[in-house]
Amino acid sequence: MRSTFLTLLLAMLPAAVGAQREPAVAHQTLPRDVRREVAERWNGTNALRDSSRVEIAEGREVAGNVAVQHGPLIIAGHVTGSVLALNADVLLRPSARIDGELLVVGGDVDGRTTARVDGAIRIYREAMLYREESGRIVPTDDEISQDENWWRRLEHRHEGNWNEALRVVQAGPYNRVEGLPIELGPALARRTPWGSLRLDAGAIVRTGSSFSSDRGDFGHAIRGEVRVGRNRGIGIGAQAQNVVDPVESWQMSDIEVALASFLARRDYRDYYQRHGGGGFVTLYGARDVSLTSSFGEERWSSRARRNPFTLFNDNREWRENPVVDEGLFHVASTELKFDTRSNPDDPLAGWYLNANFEHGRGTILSGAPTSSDPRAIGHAGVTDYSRGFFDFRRYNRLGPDAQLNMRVVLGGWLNGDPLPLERRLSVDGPGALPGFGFRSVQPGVDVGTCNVGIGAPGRPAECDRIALAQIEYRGDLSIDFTGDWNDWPRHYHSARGDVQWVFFADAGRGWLVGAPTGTLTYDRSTLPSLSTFRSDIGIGLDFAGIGVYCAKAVSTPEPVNFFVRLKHRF
Amino acid sequence: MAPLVAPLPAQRNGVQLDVKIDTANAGIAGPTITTANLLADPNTRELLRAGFATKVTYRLELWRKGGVFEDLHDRTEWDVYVQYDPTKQLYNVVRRQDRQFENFGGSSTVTTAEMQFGGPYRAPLHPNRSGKFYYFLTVEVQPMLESDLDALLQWTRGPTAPGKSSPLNSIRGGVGRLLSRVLGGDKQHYEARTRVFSIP
Repeated sequence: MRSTFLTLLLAMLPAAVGAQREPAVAHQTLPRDVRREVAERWNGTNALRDSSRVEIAEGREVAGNVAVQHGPLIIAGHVTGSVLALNADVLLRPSARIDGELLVVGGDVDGRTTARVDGAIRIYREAMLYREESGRIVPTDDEISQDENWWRRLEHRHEGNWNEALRVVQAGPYNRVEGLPIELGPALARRTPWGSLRLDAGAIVRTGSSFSSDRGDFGHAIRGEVRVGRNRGIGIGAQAQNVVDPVESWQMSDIEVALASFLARRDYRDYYQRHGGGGFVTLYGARDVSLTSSFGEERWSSRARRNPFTLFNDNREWRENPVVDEGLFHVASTELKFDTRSNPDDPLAGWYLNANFEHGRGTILSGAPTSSDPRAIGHAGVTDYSRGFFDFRRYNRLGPDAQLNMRVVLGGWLNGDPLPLERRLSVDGPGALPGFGFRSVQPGVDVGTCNVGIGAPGRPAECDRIALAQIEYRGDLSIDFTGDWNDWPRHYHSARGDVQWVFFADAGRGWLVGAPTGTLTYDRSTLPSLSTFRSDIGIGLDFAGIGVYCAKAVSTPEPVNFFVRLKHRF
Repeated sequence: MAPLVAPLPAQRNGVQLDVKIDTANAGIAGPTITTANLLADPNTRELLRAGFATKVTYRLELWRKGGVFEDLHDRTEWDVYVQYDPTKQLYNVVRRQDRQFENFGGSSTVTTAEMQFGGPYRAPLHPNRSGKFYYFLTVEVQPMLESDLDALLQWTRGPTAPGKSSPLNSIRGGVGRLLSRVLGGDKQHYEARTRVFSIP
């Protein structure tokens, strides 16, 4: 209906062209840089410039820019450049194609959902005041002092042009080896006709202890990337870093780890230091898919725990941060991500896949002690390994009020020498098998961390391989605890009901690869029997994304565990 | 153009969300979205008048009915920003969707500002295969309490930025989100769903 109306309106407009010359606005509040841009475009080189009704018929190609004032401008053909409509409406037929940008000032655009515009579409409804001098236009600056307002700055940011002389951001979650890592430094982003570039350079300050450079309280993260292609293309970048990274980050989110550390003095991750640099190549542009390959040379080393401030339990000892294999590594990795979830934080439906392959080669100068593999006294020398990690999820909507979600995680050693401890895995704690205590000493073989007995200090993840399956059913309780029962549409604070009940079940384990022994070490081509897997079930209530759960192990006798998650379990 | 969602009685006095489908062209044209009274909440208006911008997020999903599961066929999202300029006594309205940026200019009242962005808007989303479908629209109205521009811009940069957020934001954000949700502050959320329609 709107399209029909506008079409009829446009058909009548040629007779009323002159009326647009004096827009009915009292003041010129159009941003000044927009006025300048309009004047530059109009006064610049144009393949087609007109001050009346213009129609570019289907099949016609205009090689260059088009500028029209008063209009209307009707496009059914192909414009290889950009289009400017000044105090004019634009009608785009389905066959219309614009290779550049479309800028409309003092008008509206119809048909933009069916036509093809490769560049950005910018529409300023407010008419522009100007005068004409010998075919050129000169903006009427009746508010010369107007500064660029935040809308324009927001628009610039959206266009990808911004810089900050000193950006202060958090470089990672609060943790027991760094405290709060803070990154300070400049950042720059520029969008160019051929693509974009970005540079971030930051010094990292760690608040964990004494701010002494020889104690590792300072680091750095420098990253630059050049992207060729405006909407899709290839990105090439380089980075140099001296950062503290988690050994495993897939189980719980940063915010959960940070809050557990800061509030309860419980750190659910282990950490090591990465110092080095490298390059990367990424393919971007597809909405749901990304592919990134990288290569770097890094020196990995252990980090001792500090004693950062916590709000509660300050008389409790932090868990040791395990020692890792120290040495110089050359690491090549490729990561594929496929994500069609409706909302990553609160998915109703969709697929998620994160597949990572890594090949590492290097020299271990100091091997870390482990409890459960033959190199328990440490391993040094040249190492060459391959590792894969695969996280696959499916979110299913059964109906408006019900959901069934599934996840499979497989990861670990693929080929070569044993994995360094930085690349070992575990299925332990609230992020994986919440029915079992995190890093708790288990009788017999601990298939959660692959530790034997009391294990190495800090009970590091020692598994060569892991397998984990999770399933959960979510149902709305239709309880509106913050709003009016009679209110409609519903008035709540997440993408679904206020409160959901959740039933879940998990099964998983880790194992070592080698000469088969007992129920911990298996041949490279053997999957452990399902009867050896840990399993648990649980229920919980999800209050708009914040879940309170209890879980009970079913494979072995364990007490019931209660836990809180600030995001969905997966 | 046949409306597949009629305003419910309770909507007439409050927020209205309408998703209208041109049934004859449902396979080649997206639905028309109309909303009203999203900014009618007194708290929202008060915050607007106090200089805090309001962000209205529209998320339109196209679902395909299956035997057991319902599949998300496609989705689109756009944002509207409203800010009061006390020097000109105007409410500025901007709409952004992907690479489209639309500045509606200033309006003298909240009502007229909302009419700017709440009017019929053709969403670029429609089925491209046969089957049974329905649209699901969610709208979130959220005051942007961080009036500081840098905070806003940090937020607009999204998760691709190498830095995670401002210092202490993870803690402040987590606790703040927890408290605001429990106490009922934060954001207003509305939804509407069309009836199922078929594409032969």
